[in-house]
Amino acid sequence: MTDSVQTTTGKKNKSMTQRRLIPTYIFLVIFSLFSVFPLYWMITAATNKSLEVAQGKIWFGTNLAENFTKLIRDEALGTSMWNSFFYATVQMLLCLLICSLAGYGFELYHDKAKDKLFAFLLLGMMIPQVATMIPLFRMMSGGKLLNTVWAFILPQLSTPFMIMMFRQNSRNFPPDIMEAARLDGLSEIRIFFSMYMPVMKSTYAAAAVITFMNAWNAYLWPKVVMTKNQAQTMPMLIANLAGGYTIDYGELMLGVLFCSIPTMIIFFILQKQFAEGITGSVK
Amino acid sequence: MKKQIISALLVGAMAVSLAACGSSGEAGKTAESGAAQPANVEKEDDHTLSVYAWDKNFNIPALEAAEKAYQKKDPDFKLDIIEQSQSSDVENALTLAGSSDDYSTLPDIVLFQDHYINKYVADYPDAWQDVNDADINWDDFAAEKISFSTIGGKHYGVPVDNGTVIAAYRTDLLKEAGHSIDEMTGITWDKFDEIGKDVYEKTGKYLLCMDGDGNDLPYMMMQAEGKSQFKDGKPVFADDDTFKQIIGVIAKLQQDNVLYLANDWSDYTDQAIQGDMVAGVINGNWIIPTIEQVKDNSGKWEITSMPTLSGEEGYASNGGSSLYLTAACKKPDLAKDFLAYTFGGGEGAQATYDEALTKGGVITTFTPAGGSDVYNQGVEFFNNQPIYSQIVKMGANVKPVEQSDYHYPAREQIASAIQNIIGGADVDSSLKDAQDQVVFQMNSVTSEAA
Repeated sequence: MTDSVQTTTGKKNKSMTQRRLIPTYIFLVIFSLFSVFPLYWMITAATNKSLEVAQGKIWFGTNLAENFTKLIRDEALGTSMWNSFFYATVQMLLCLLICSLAGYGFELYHDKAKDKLFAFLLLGMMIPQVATMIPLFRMMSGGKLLNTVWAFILPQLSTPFMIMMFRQNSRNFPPDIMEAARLDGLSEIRIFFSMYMPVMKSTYAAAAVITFMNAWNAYLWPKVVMTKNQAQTMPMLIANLAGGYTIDYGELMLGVLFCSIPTMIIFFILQKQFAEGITGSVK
Repeated sequence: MKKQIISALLVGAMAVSLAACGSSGEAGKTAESGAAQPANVEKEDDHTLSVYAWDKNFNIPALEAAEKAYQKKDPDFKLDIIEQSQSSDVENALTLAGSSDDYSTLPDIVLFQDHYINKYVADYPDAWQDVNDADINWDDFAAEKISFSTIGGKHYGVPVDNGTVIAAYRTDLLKEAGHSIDEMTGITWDKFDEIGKDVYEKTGKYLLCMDGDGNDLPYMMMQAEGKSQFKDGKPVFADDDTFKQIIGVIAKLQQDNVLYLANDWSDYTDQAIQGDMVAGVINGNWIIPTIEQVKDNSGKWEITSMPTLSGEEGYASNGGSSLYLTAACKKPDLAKDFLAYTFGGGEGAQATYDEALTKGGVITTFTPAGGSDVYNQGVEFFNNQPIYSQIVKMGANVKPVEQSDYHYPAREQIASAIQNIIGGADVDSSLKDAQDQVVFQMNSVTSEAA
């Protein structure tokens, strides 16, 4: 009897809790729809004619093949995809290496002078990109680096934000591991590669996603230093599609779709590590 | 040991990037060759010119047509067209090169917006080379177009397109309201308003539409009267009676449901024009491809000149660009010869302009080109009217008016004044405010420079 009363009360409580959650769910569903709708519209628009998109059609159409043919004919899609991928990958790899070394050094070889240097470094975050654009452009132009991968990546190889992120997350790196490794005779550099890197995997994943996305989506700086068609990146291609007196929205949205796919893939693959890395957890 | 590891690390980093370079296609090659050689490697070639241009569907086909035409003279000739997303990209590139004091990064030629060229020649005089000695008969072009690119008595640019304003109307809707296209030619704005009210009443469509945010109507209407919004470099919005009358007309048209003022540019093109809300469009002829998007209305449109306050036929021009030679061009003779031979009216001009029209819808201001078969063909969408030759003829009638570097700030201020007036604000004080705002902008630039 007591058991059955407890069970009924338990069920009642559970259903009451569930009922109380209904408004929350409705709220969340509505906001999810708001977030997903632009993505959905991008995909359907890529299959429609420009006029249909302009008139607000939000269901799938039959113009995908034509939009694709036009996109391939009008724009150097392959070259731009490759350029963006190549620049973003090189930037990501080098930036991770440099910034993680810096973050590691600042946190684990910690002293007062380094703290001051770090504070100075953080000031760099306050300088807007446009303020450094002209001097940087002069440097790149003077060094004959325009239209090369170096012009794209050099200004972004070491960013205060990334160094700070690695430094913050390095606080969770157990110093005991370093002591143990030293006792075992590992050199400092080996400790970094063999001990620090594997332990900080999730921070690397988060940093990789952020760096890759930033590099992939960069527009202003590449537009300044990539002055040739052959060096064009995806955001520049999208901008070209979006300009002019008459815009073909179907073709434009297909271009945007192509531009979004790589960042989506990277994000989905590293989603779990990204969340861990952002919150600074270490396994 | 440590040193070895550090050097291995650096070599590794280099290897990763170079390996990616090596395995790449075209882009990798650019990246590598770019690092090893000067960036502007094409400029060393005696038969290649580089040019910045925007709009794959408009200007770029015109440039490709010119390249093809010049290849008849020089079979090795190549025009390296570097696509930009919009005209402001070219302006930004100029500003960047000027601010960096390094014009070598610019291409040989740039396509540049007419309304801005005066300001850029004044701000960066070293960025340009004049084309005065090119073999071009300047009298063959519409005087108004040439007035933009002639600065300090020197010719700096060669015209490409034509901004001549067309007044395009739906003949079927006019008929439904009991009117015809002939009635729309050489009429006063008052008469236009009367017809517009009939059209709205019978068909529910507006006889005119404009982007309310970047409102080009005041400029075009003033030019049709042969006047400018500026006098001796200063805005005269509040002092010019014609201008006040024009603003009054615009407000009345809007209140009578004759004019639809769209919220922004995409509302204007996508909703008003392509959404089939209107029976008429008045703008630069580059608006034609937008009108043509609605295939169902083929054969129902026709074009004519603008109304005026007095009822004479009105001619105006809005927008357009020309090709300018930059200081970076190391082959000015080739560039001038190319421009003269193609867009400048030389042997390749007809071929250039005919193909620019068929492939990109670009209409010229070079009057003799308007006589060709291509220009005189009837256009099915416009009820078989030979609209292109008609536009060239109308273009020759456009009166040059005083231009200002503050054309676009003025447009913005006047647009917001119009919105205020429609909302019930006083005409005189709204125009005075707009004028003061523009004067303030002019003065702040002058004091910065000082």
